[in-house]
Amino acid sequence: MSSQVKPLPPAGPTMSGDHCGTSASTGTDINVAPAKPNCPLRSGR
Amino acid sequence: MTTLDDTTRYETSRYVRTLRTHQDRDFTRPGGLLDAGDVPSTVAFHSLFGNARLIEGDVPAVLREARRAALSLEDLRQRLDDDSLTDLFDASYLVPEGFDEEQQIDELLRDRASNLSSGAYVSMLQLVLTNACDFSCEGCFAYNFDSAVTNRRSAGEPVKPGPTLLQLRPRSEVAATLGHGDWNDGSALSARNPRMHMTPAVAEKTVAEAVALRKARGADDLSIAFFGGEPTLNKKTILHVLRTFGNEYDGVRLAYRMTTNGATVDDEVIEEFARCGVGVSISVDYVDHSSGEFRAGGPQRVVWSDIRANIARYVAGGVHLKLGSVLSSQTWSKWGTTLIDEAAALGIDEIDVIVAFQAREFFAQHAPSDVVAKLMEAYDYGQRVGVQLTGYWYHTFLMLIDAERWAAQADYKTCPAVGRKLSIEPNGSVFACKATARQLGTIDSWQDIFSSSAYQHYGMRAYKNGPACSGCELQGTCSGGSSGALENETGSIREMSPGYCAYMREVVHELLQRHALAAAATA
Repeated sequence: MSSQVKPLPPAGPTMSGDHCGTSASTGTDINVAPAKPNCPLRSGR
Repeated sequence: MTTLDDTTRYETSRYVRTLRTHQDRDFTRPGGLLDAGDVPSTVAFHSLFGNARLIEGDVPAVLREARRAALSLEDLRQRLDDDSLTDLFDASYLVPEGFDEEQQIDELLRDRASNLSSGAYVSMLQLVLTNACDFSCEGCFAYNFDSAVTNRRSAGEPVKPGPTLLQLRPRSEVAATLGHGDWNDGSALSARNPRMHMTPAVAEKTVAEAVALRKARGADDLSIAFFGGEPTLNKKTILHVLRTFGNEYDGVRLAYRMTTNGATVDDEVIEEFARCGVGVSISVDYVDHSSGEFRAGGPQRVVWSDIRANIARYVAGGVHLKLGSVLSSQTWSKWGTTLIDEAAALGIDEIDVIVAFQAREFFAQHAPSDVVAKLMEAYDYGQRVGVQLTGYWYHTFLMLIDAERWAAQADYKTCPAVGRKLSIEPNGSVFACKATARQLGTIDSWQDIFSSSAYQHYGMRAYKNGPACSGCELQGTCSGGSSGALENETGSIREMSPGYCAYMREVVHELLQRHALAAAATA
């Protein structure tokens, strides 16, 4: 990671993802997030 | 993503936001726009995708410049080192000129529309083991969210809506088949809040169907919440589920949670919970040592010292606990650090703080900035004594700084009622959540659940809450609170509550600011 763009450190953990006692399961065969963008630097440009 | 070629120019995403400056403190409106001020370093994030970063050096100025006019890759490389640029592209801070990342969300929504009826998105069960309860609390889920009260009344069900949610009756007035303290006047045939306990057979069929669904979809985990009413009044079904399915069944891992008032516990339950890793949330709004009160609604049938003793039993038995506390008009005057001290003394490291579900009423009585001040004072106190305060508000903050968390819950953000969760009433009727009003179907036909117009209605509210969220710095990380609470308050799951929005923007700003300061101090 460069010196000018830094990720923030992790914050305190939590036991469950919502107030009604359920937490996320992430193993669906359908990705709910968009694909990562193509970085022009990484693609050799 | 737009195809790249030699002529592609890049601009700063319209969704990049930064920590608000001192001149940008009107939280009733979206803020944090890049041009708000010329600062040497700050926290930035993407309002759709999270991806918070500390940006410093030349980066803030370059991002501002590329927001005004797109730059070539060569221009950018002359201004910033490759590592910085790579991360800015990876985090979608820099995008091809003219590209709108909302297209990616729209694409996911199109996929969702075509996949929703398969049940592929369901990953959580909320088993309403009984609607009976031995407490009478303000803010209870069981009767607090029902916008269908009129319909239920016209169908002949004697419903008790409003601020007095539960009614304790003498045992002599309660039907012989029901447990002590059962208050529900509904019939066993009512879809919502039926008057019965969930049988082991109904629970077993539900979990088996959900496991089969997850397996068929190639997933290997399922989250199950024991809910109510007061779930421990139906200990028989809890133990049946745990002993039948354990932590893994047919190749699917099972994670359990229970939300309870903490009044009833025994060694058999503790032992089974420890064996299966059941996480327990005990609802304690505040602690008033002078009266022994601890829940909104005033005196209960037990006092705080009883609950405290039960918590200590859970802890001694190796059960992972957190407390659940509601900050509302009913708890406002008593809510604060005493509860945090009690948690710390009991070795509990998390208090899940629900800020009043009745947002419109609450924020009319308490200004959003006053709520934030009270919450953050408690948060800071918790940090000092080792108790993490969390809630919807904290989870939105976590989605901003934790890319994996964002990717895992981008669709539902903080409210899984939008297609991720099924809530099963004791008689097998199915809802999106205990807090939502429209019935999805019954466990007798799972396929009919997912193809129902009601499931489609909730499930397609993923990603985008409603038109008022467009342009908000939290549009990709905030659910606007509970979908059921919004539905109850406005009649629509897509209409936000303005006071809630102002409060959320401010509290998340405060959390980001504290986190950035802490990070800088340890750098």
